[in-house]
Amino acid sequence: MEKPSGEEVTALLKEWSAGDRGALERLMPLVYGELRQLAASHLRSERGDHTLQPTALVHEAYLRLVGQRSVSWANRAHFFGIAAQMMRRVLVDHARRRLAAKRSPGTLRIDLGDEAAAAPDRAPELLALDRALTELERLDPRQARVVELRFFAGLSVEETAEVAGVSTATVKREWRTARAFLRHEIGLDASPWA
Amino acid sequence: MTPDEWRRVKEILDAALERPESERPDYLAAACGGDAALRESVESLVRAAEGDAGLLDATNAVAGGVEVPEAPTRAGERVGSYELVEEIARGGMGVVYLARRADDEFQKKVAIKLMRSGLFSELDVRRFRSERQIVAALDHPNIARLLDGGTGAAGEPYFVMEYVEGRPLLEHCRANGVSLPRRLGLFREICATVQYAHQHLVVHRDLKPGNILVTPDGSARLLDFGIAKLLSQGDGAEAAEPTATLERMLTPEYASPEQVRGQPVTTASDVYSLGVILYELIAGEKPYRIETGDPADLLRLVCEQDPDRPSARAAGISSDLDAIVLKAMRKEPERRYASAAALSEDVGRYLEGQPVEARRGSTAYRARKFVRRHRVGAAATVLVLGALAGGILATLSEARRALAAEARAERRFNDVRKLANSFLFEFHDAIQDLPGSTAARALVVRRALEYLDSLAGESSGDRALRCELAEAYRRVGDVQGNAYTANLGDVDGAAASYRKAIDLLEPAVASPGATDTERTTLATTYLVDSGLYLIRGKAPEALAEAKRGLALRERLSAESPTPERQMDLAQAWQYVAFDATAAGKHDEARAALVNQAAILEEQSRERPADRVVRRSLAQNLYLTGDASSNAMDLHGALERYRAAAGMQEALLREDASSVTIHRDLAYSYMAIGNTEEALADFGAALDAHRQALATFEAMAAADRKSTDAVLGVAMSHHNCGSALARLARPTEALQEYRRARAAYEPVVAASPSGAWAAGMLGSLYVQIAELEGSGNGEEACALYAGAVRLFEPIAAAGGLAPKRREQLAVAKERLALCANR
Repeated sequence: MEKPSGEEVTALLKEWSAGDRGALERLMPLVYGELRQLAASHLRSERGDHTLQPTALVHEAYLRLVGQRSVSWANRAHFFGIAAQMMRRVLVDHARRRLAAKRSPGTLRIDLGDEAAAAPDRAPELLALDRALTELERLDPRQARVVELRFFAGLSVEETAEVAGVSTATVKREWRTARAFLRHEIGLDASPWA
Repeated sequence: MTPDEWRRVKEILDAALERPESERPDYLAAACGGDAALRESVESLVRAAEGDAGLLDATNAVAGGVEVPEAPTRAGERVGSYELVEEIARGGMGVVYLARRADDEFQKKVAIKLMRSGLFSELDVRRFRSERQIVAALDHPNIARLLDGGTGAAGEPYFVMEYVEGRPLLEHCRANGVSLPRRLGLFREICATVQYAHQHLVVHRDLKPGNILVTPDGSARLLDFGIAKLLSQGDGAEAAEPTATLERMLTPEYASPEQVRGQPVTTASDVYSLGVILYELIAGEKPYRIETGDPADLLRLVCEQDPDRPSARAAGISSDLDAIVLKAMRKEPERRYASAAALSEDVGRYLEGQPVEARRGSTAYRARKFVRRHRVGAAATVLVLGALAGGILATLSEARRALAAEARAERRFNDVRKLANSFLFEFHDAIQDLPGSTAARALVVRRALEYLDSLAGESSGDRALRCELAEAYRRVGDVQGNAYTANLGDVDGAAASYRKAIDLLEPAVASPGATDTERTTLATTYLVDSGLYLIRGKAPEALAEAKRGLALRERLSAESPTPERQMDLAQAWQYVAFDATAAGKHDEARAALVNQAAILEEQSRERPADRVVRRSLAQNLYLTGDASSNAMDLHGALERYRAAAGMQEALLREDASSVTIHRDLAYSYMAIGNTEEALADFGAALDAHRQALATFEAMAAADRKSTDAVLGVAMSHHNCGSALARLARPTEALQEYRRARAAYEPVVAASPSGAWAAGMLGSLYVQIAELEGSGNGEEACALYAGAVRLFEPIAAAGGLAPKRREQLAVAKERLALCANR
């Protein structure tokens, strides 16, 4: 993959914020690749410390891809929006592959670490959440964005408010009701009849 | 559900969740009216909100335990001219591979750090290439060398480093159960390495335990030196927005406040990171738990919040270590240790049980520490340096009182304390009366003079300090060259130190409010200084100086005739007697000795077992013997010398290790020998000189560098030679002379002002030449010339003894014949 320059990413962000949907299409793979690599390396180095934070990844991805020079806040807000979506995609894709590998009889996966063995496998739950969030996206795209920013990009209430362009009270309200909705949907999703 | 339906459900749900549980049924009934389906939807959502939410309970996905994918390995690929063998580490900055040069027949292992692509631009890479030279110049056994660098095929920068086999610092300590002192030792090694880099103008900027490997032989190796600086070049201009700092803040847990704020990074930032590393090394935890990754939180934690003391996190950490860590981690760079070396030194002080700089503010602490350590050192501290310790202790209590009021006392206290440390604890048992101590004491002198000169520079107006300084200079002078105690033979250095003490004290003693301390110190300094004049062949000056000391001591004794002051006065009389004898004023010498004996006998009646009184009585006998000898009462002299020797032999039987008594006794034997010689009993003279030789040799064997032992041995050989010559045993005599010559010459060369030794050597040259006769004309002429060269300056100063003046005349006469040959 050709390495995107900071200018290129900035230009794409600007085009996108000017209403060019195609710019977003071109931007997404760049951000995705970067986030994926970031996430992987962070996890490897930080696993023992449990300090991996999506915010750090997203902030770093932003810096790597765009740099902090001459980029307006609006662009950065857009970027965080994209990054949050990308984080979601990185994690969900991985969970999906992981489950597929588990089911595949030709793949034998051995977990050696006690920590890994002790940690519950979140992959099925994450996939259910992803489906529920997709449903919420249909009902209320803005609310789904808030969830992505909070849950996948790890932003604080204040940052989420800034990126989403709403008040912090709104973010709190949206987050609370969205959680109720998602839990409800996941509960349905996880039922044997779903 | 449609978006419109959800909007309605959401509104009611939100309002219901706002209300306490008890009010919800009534609220829902009112809000939903008769719409049962709506009400059921909202009620099931309320239940969902209350129940266990699993993954959604976490603040975010990763915190909730969602697995993050790993990047694929690039082992087997080629980067530049290197082949990646296997991945050895991954970090935020990139992945590290074990690699080898693909074209290298030696298959040398290297580590390649592949930076994450996008980490820096092409411009940065170019800058890196030039900057790399600076970093590559770091050549230190504890720094993994940066060998190469460039960009790979995909534009990703890479660094090639020396491959270090080892485990990360903390892992090493945990896995091997490394003890606290060993951990601190490792830490000091790390500090020294960082200091080295700082001295070469390279700041690490990303010091953390993961960047420090401990090799199988237990030494620390620092990685990535200067790379962080190379990476962050050229981004100094942008505004310090919180997110922008993330780039600089490569590892937030170890980053200093100025790094987090995006402010200029200096060596102080590395000192901060070292503080965090030390924290983790001793407490087993990082000082801050950075969890949110939120720049605002990070700013607050690192820049505002004080970390817990390490001792609050782990057992068995002393408050000194707490203080050291917290000082290294101060928010303000200027309040941290000035350097990595200073941090290391303080850890060293902690390890040695000395007061740590980090706790300088606490007076009680210092006193406690000082006294505790003093107890250890005091046992080994004798005479000269022991007295210095006493002075320092007095200083301590005085300084303590002054501290509250005066800021300068703080520095003074510390400087004097350093002096005390240097004297008492670095060299605690290498002290004056212990054999073998000369080399250690030479070091003490250098240290002491440095400290004293620094203090003296700002002592004006502080009377007590000036007095303490004078006392200290005086004691240092003693160690350098006091003729009466074991000394380093540095006569000129000693005279300079005494002069400094006298110059500090004379104005104070002349002023109306002169204290007893000032007067006693000045008196002592005059007396020891008189001894130096004597060594330099200036007997009249010596006598004058001794009389100044005597006058002060007489007044002190008259005011309060305590045993100490009486002994001091007796000692002053002895100096006067000695100097008067040397100056040829025999009546004055005899009178002085009578005065001294009266005081000593009185003291001896009161304290018959007192060794100091007994030693002084023996010296009085010896000097009285000298006086008798000068009055041509040789038999009377002999009797007194023998009595002195008898007392000294008794003292030595009680304590065979005393260097001072050895010396006294050796001189008594020598005096006996010289008197027997004068009485023409050369056999008896030879016996006595051989006894003197054996005694001096015992001293010299115990301390090879003790100048007066060496000189004593030389003199004894010289005297034995003279006796043998008189016994008509010229071969043996020459043998002794040669030994004497070999011993004198280095002493004279080392201290040209030591007229005493120079006079001896001149005399010896003449004796050798005379004994050899005309058999070796050329050598004899050279010896005469040497003697003249040695004698003339002494003669010019009026310090040449009559016998030597005769020898000088002989030498000149023979030399004239040599010229005519």
